[in-house]
Amino acid sequence: MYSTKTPTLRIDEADLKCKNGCGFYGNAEWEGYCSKCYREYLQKQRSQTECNVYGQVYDLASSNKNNVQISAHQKYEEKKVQQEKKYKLLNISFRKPVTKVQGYQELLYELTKDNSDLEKVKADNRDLIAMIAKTPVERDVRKCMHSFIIEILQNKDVKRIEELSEITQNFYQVFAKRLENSAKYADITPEVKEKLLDYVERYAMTLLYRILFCPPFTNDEEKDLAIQKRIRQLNWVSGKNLECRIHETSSEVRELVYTSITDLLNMDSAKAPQEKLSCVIYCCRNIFLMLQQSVGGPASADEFLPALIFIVLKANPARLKSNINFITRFCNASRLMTGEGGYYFTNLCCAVSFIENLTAESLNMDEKDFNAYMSGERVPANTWESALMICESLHLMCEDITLLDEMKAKTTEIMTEALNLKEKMLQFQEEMKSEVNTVLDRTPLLITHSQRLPTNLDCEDIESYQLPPPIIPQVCPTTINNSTPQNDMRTSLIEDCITPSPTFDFPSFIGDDSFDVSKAEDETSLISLDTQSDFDTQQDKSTNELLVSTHLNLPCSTESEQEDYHGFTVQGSNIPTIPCSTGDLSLNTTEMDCENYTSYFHNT
Amino acid sequence: MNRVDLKVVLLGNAAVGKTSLVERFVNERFNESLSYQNTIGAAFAAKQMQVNGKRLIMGIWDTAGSEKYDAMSRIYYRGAKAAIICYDIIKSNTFQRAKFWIRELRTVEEGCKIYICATKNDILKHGAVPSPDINVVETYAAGIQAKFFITSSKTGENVAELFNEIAQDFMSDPNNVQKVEEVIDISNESKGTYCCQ
Ligand SMILES: Nc1nc2c(ncn2[C@@H]2O[C@H](COP(=O)(O)OP(=O)(O)O)[C@@H](O)[C@H]2O)c(=O)[nH]1
Ligand SMILES: [Mg+2]
Repeated sequence: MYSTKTPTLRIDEADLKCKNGCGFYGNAEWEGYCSKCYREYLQKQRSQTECNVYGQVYDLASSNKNNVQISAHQKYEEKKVQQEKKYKLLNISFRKPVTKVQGYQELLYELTKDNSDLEKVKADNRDLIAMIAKTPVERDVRKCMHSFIIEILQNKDVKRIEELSEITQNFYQVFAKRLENSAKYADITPEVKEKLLDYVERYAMTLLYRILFCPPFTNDEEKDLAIQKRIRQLNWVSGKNLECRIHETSSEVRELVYTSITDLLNMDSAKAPQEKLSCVIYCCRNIFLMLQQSVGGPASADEFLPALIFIVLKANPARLKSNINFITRFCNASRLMTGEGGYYFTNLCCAVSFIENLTAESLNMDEKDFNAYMSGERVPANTWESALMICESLHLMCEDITLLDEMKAKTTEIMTEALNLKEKMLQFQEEMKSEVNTVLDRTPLLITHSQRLPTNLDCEDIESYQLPPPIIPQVCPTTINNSTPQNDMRTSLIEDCITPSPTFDFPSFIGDDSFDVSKAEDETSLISLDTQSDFDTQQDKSTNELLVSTHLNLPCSTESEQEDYHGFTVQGSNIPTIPCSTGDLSLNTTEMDCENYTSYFHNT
Repeated sequence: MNRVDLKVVLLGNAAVGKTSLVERFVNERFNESLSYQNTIGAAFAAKQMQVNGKRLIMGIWDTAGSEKYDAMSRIYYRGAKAAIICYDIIKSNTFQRAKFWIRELRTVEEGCKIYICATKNDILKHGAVPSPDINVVETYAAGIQAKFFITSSKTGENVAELFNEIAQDFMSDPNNVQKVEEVIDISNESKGTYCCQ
């Protein structure tokens, strides 16, 4: 609606009317249509391709069914066309609503967070913000701006850049009218309203800069490179070629030339469209000053445009087309249509257009000479011209230096981060160590308790251990009758029973051979009777072989072992307490438990 | 908004007196030796005007007259509500060029009103003969529905009248008034969808 009512300042090579003949402007990017007709055209095309694809599929299916003979070649062609169309369809619908709609909140957060440019905008408008702080005005401004930003974020992948531009321009208009008509803004002076309008534009555009400047779904970048290359080719063009009167010998004039070049180069680093525009304004004002020095009077458009072309050629600003497009699309159109900024910006667009379409004729020179210069065969003799030629390279170098500086800063940052990480890792290690140590101190591993465990392995019954030797009296009567040596033997037997096996200290658990021995013994003791029978038959063999044979016979004993193990898992709830509270366990140990322990060791 | 911006483009050959015309209108002066020392540039000028009690800022855009910039001149017209096409009252070649611009404007910028301006009227007093004849230009202007003014920047004759006429025409044009109203419509309608979600 907006674009049809107020003509915007869209500049392009082909500024022709819409192909549809609707009376509005067409655009090369819209295939010669105006925005409205192009959308209709796109829609029509889309539905057509869709129809075609479906038709084709249907055709193929029916032809297959009827087994109509189609030559292989024909089939191939058909398939190719179909594939192409499918591809086209895919291509067209690529940026349709498939994109995530949820992500914009995070995106907004990401864009707002740590945005120094945004902070700068806020700082620059501190007075204004303070003035409206905590009033309904502030709330309303915030609300309007937020809904606009969200709308852009939601549509950024779905809509074309021209449509985003339209949304933006529409927002500016609506907001301006709101300032004018809404009761909320009744107490505010026109000057403050102006400032508010400017602030809203500045803030929103700075925030959305990453999304709207040279977006990947346009060919802005291509055009940037093309114009940059073109200007580089034209670096031999002098002021004389352009018929602009620049007093080269005056140092003041030269100084002003350099200043205006710098001003123009600054445009790329500015964010908000009006900031970019003011770079253009500064540049042009300096050109006028320069011309005044050169001409000896106020310059008019006849002198100004050639001079501006000269400056653009010598500056070769970075991303020139992207910047121009960004201003055209997102700068408040009322600013671009009128006012000094609009005038200078239009001249800049003209200069760029002139450079793009420049021929030998427009420089009043011979075709042959022109080509010689363009191909680089000839270079200008004038030293200042050469100096200006170097100017661009110098600026490029400056850019590179800043890039390198940034990279250096990043590397040092990474280095410090790495060192930090290293320190943290060491610290972590230390902390871990001390923590483990404190835990160890708090809960010492009492190994002495587990001493009973191996002891248990040895004795079948723990109570038999505590029993007074009741068997001895049975032996006694015989010994009384017999000699004393037997008595001695009896005492030694008692000693054997009472003395706990010294071999079974904890260390033996870990790596001592004695454990292995016990293990071997356990194995044999565990193995069912049939192994025992084996034992009997192979009595004369060495112990080593014995062990081997028992191992060989293990398969037949695994069944029983597994059963044991089964029991172990069933009673598993008791088991985990073993390592910590072996002392308690020893009190209510049963034979069953003992067996389970042994099987436990087997399985581990 | 109380303020309306109006863009006026100046077209015409070099040295027909465009800059002088603006200078006369904006600063009310004329300097034959081309030394308007106080102004930096005379390419763009803005002047505040009062029409029917409404404040209006007229932005006057001077253009480079050289033929090599013809291809870009349409960039200048864009959004202009009025164009002053100047020609030197005694130089018929400048009038031929004026006709070229008129054709361009008619095809490219329909909403732009055309004002033909014959400059340097004062020199006729010194015995110069207008070329082409004033009658020819008048007929031509009537044929294309353009207004015709004969001015002199040196004496100031008809200069203010020309610009006042432009401002009056702009304000009386229902299209421009309508535009303002429509914008209000948009804001009313979209208040619901836009700002009070
Ligand atoms: N006698 C006379 N000379 C004029 C008038 N207007 C402009 N000139 C002269 O014409 C020359 C060109 O004027 P200028 O304004 O620079 O033309 P421009 O190139 O179209 O901007 C200057 O020498 C002016 O003094 C006029 O109304 N009367
Ligand atoms: Mg001039």
